[in-house]
Amino acid sequence: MPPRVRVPSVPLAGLDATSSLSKTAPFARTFSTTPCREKMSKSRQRMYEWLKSQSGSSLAEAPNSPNYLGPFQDQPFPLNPLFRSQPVLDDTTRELIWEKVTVRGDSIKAVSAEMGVDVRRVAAVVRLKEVERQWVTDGKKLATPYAKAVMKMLPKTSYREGEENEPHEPVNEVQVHNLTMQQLFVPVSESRHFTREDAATAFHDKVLSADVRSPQPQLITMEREILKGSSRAESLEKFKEATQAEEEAVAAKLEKQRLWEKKQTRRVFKKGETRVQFRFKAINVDDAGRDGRSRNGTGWRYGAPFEDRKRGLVKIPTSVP
Amino acid sequence: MRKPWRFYSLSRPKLRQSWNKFNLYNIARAAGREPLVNGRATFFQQKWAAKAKTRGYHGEHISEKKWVRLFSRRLLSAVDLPPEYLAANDGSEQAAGRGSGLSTSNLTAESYSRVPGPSKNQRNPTHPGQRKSGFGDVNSMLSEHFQDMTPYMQMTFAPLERRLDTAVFRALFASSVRQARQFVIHGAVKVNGKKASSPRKIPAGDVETPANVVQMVHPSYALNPGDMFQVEIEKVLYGTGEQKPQKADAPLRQSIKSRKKLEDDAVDRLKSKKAGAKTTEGEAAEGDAEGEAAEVELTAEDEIYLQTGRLRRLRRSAREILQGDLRNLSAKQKKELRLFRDSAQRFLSLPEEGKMNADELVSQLQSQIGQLQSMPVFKKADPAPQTEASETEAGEPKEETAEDKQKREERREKKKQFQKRVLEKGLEGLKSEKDRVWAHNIMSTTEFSNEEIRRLANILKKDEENPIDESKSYLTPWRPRPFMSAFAFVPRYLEVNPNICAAVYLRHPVARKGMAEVPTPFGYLTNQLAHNWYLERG
Repeated sequence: MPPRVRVPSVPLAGLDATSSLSKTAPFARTFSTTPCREKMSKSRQRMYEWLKSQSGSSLAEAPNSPNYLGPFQDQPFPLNPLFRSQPVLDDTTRELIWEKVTVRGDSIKAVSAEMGVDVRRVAAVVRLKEVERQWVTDGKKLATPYAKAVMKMLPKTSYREGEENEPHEPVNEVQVHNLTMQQLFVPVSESRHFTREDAATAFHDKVLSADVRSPQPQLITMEREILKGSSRAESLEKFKEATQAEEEAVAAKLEKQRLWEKKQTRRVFKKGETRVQFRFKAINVDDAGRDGRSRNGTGWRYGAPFEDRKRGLVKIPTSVP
Repeated sequence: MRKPWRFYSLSRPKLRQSWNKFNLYNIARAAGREPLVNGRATFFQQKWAAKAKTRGYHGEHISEKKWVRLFSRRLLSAVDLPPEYLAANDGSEQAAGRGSGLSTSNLTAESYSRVPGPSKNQRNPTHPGQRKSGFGDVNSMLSEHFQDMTPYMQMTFAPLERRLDTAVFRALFASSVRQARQFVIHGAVKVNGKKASSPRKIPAGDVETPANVVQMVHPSYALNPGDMFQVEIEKVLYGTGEQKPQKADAPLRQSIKSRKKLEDDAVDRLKSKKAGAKTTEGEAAEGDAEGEAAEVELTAEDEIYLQTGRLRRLRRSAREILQGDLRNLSAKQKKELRLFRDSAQRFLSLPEEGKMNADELVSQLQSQIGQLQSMPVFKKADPAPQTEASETEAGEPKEETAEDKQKREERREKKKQFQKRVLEKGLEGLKSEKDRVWAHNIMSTTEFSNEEIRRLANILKKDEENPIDESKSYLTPWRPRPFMSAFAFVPRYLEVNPNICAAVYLRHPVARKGMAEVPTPFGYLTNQLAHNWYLERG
C-alpha cells in the first residue's frame, strides 16, 4: 500500500496561474493529471449539438417569416400533419375592417361576405380595434415591439381593396349537428325529389336544414337571384340593403328594450344636480318563488341557506356578463 | 398541480405546452411518436401509453379527475358550405339516379370552395428523427387516408382549449400554460373587462358595484364564445421576452462591484448635495450657473462619514480573509491582518464625537492600511484612495476672460436655433414631455448634420417604442424569446390583437376535412388510443 500523504486541497498560489486545470475545475486535486470531465449526458450533448446546428440556431433567432419544425411549411408539430398554422389577418386588414364597419357604416355581414372573413371574426376585430383606439386616445402605451415581432412570426392574409383576393376563411360554415352524425336508412321512392330539408326532417322533426342554419342566409338568396338571371351588381346591392335592414332591426329592438327598462325604473335626482341619486324598480315578492331561491328573486330570503360554500358545488363562474 | 420532477426530460421525454428549448428538441426529434401498432403491446397497454403521453401535454397541470369530468365524447366539426353551392343545388343531386344504378356524382360543396387549403410545400426535416422508418411502416400506411377525412380524434382534448389559462397560452401571451395560469391567478388577466368574475350571484335588481364583485380569478374558467380576455402588457412582455441573465453568480460579482461602487456613490452623493445647495444660493447672485463642477469642500464630518464606511468594508474583508484559507499567508501578514481587524473594531465602536478626537487611533489605522496594501487580496477591496486624490486635482477653478464669455454666449445662441430647427423637423414622434427635454439636452450638447438628425430622430422614436429600462423584469430593449417562432401560431378559434394583448374566443374549436383546430403534437393514432381510453369501454 502506498503511503498516504496529505496533499493540500487547494492549489498553491504559484501553481494557480500556470495550470490550466484549475481554470476548468477549481476544486480538482492537484495530483490528478487528467482534466475533470464535463458532466453532461449523451442525450444532453446531442440536444446542444442540434440546437447549435443550422436548423436549431435558425429557430433561436427571431425570424422575418414563419419558421416551423414540421416537414410542411405551415406545420408546427412534425408528427401531426392534421394541425397547421393558419394565417391571421394582418394589421392593415384589421384596420380596414374597423374602418368599413364604424366609419363607412357597412353591415357586418356585408363586410364578412366581401372580405371572406367569418362574421364573428369581423365583430371581434372591430371590438378589439375599438379598445386599441381607446388606449391610444387615453395615451396608454401599446405593446408595439411585441406585436411587431409576433406578426413577423405568423403567416398572414392581407386584403387589398379593389383587387382579387383569396378569402381568409369560409364565410358560410355550418357546424355539424349532433343528430346528423348517425347513419340513417330512409326508404324513399325513386321519383321523389329528396332535398336537404327532407334529409333534415328525416333525422329529427326539429332539425333545420343547412340553408336555415347558415350564418349568411342573405348571401344564399343573392346567389339564387344571380342564378335566376339578375345582374351581380344589382343583387349585391339588394344583399347589402337586406343585411343593413336586419342590423337596424336588431339595433331598434335593443333600443326598445333599453327604453322599456328605463321606463320601469323611477329616478330620483338630488336638488339642483343632474346625477341620479336613487333608482327605484318595482319588485314583486313572488319572484323569489316558493322556496325563495329562484334566480329572478331579489336579495336573500330569511331562512334560505347560502349554498355557496357547500362542498362539491362549483364556485367558478360559468359566464362573465 | 405541483410541477413534476424532471419536467423536461431527455431520457423519458414528455411533450409539454411550453416554449422551453428542451421541449422544442423533444418535439423536433418526434419523441411523441407512436410505437408500431403491430408490436407486442396489448390494446390496454397501447391505450395507457397513449393516455400518459397525451396527458403530459394536454392539461398536465390539471388533475386527472378534473379532466375526466371535462371530457366529452361529442366532438365538434364544421363543414364549409359555399353559398354558391347551396343556391345552385337543393341537395337532391346527392341522391339522384342512385336507384337506377347511376354512380355518385362528383358534385360536392367542396368543389365550390375557394378557401386556400394547407400548404403542400415540403422541405427537409429539421431533425433526422422525423424521417419515416421506410418500407412497410404500418403506422404510416394507416395514416394515409387521414388527410381525406375529418380527424375527429384530434379533437379529444378540445374541452381543455376552452380553459382561460390554455387560451392565454394559445394566444401567445405566455410561454407556457403554467405561466399563463400564474398570470390569471395573479390577477393579470381580465375577462370581458373584469379582473374578477363574481362567483356570487348578483340579484337581478342590484347594481354591480366594486364591493359587489368578489375578486377571485380562475384559470379554469371556461370561456364562452364571444368572451374577450386581456392580459397586462407588462406580464406578456415578461412572459414572451428574452430573460435577464442568470443570477447564479450574482453575489460574487456583486460583492466586488458594490465595494467599488459604494465608495464612489457616497462621495458623489455628498458632492452633488453640496453643489445643489451652492447653485441655488449662487444663482440668485450670478444668474447664470455654468455646467462646470463647482469646487466642493468636504467638511470634517463628511470625511469621517466616508472614512467609517470605508473602514467598515476593509474590516469585513480582513475578517473574510482570516476566516478563509490561511495557508497562502505568511505569519507576519496574518498578524497584521488581526491587528488591523481589532483596531478597526475598536475605532468603529467609538461614539460619533469620540471618532473626531481619536487621532492616535486613526493614524495607527492609516499606517496599518498602508502596510496591508502590499497584499493583493486586501488591495482589491480598497480602490478608493487613488480616485479621491485625482478628483481633488481635477477640480481646480479656472480663470476666464471677457472674450471667452462672449464666445460662449454666441455658441449658446446658435445651439438654441439649432434645437428649434430639429424640433420642427422630426421629433413629432416623441409625445412625453420628459423625452422632449431629454432630446433637447442631447441636441444642445453636440453638433449634428441633417442626415444625422434624421437618423437620431428615428433612433429616438424606436427607443420610445422599445426603451432600455433596467427596472423591467425582462431584458430591454424587448426581444422575443429564443425559439418562440417554432411555437408561434394562433388557432382560428381565437382572434388576437397583439397591440393590446387581448383576444376574443370566437367559438369552440372544430374539426374540418383533413384538419383539426386543437393544437396537439401527437398523431392521429395516439389521440385515437387516448380517446378510447377516456371512452371507458373495455
